[in-house]
Amino acid sequence: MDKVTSIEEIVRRVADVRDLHRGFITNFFFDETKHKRWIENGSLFAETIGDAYFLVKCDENFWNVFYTATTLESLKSGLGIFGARHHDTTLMIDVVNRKDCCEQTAASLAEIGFRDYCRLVRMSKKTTEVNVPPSNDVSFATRDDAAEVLRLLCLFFDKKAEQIPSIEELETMAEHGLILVLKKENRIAGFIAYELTKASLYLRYWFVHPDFRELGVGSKLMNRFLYEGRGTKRIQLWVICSNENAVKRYCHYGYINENMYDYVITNRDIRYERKDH
Amino acid sequence: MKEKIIRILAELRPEFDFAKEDVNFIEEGMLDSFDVVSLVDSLDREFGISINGIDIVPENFATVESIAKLVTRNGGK
Repeated sequence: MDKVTSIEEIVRRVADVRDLHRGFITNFFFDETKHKRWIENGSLFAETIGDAYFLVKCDENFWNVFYTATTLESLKSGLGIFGARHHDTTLMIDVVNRKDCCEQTAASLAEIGFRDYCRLVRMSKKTTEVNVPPSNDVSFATRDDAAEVLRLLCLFFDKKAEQIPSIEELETMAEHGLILVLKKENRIAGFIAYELTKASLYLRYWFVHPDFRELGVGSKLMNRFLYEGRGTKRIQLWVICSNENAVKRYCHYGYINENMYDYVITNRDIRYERKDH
Repeated sequence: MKEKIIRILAELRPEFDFAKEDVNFIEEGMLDSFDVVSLVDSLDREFGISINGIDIVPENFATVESIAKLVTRNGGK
């Protein structure tokens, strides 16, 4: 694999696949800020096999594989070779699309040894008016809170399925007022991390520490989050399908399933195990 | 063509009014990178084209006008 050295290189290589005009499938969704950071810290690599272009984000214990290919057959062929070359590494792939497309892709890649790890679904709702004044207990996280937020994310979330941000990303989010925390006893009892782009709010993490459950921490955070997002038109989030309590909770808040799924598959015999969050 | 594009956009994101001409869909957060990939697929099928890879950049999806130019440039009518 070659280390990726610029965003332009990625754009050109993805365009090359598309310009073969034999079809186009991908799980690579461009995010300039995030991908520049990966390039800068030297964790992004690339490999072309046939009509398929693979981008690989190397994590400590596994690799996230992003593909751009002409057809499912070319992906399957290329990934088969890629998987054999890197058989000693845990490979994680997010197949993101409508449910029928995810099913088809996952079934095809199962033939070369990739198995279900877990599934997520995107849910969204129109932003509603906020009538409740936000709680003063909730504040913006500081840059210094980022390390503790990361520790909690690593402890209670699944790195392979839930795209845990880097410390740099969390520090930047904190500086931009995109992490809300509620502190009790000098500890972070809960937090919400989100992205805000004028008309859209993206809820990335909503967490209440087990020591502080049933105390209204989650609802105070949510109210403040909605308050900060006033003026937007849409809120979206990804949730793990097997986490029925979370799905029910979001349905209760008016979120609907968008028929956009993320089937996380892997070359290892491992399965997502729900952590308590 | 513009009516077809607005219909496709509305199916993708029904909560937004894409007929308004004075906003940038990307900068406003009305379309994200997931939506752009879905939109390219829908435009390809609706107009019987295959949009060039080099054209898949955010500025080409910023307004109905820019999307229409993109479709025309790639042979759509």
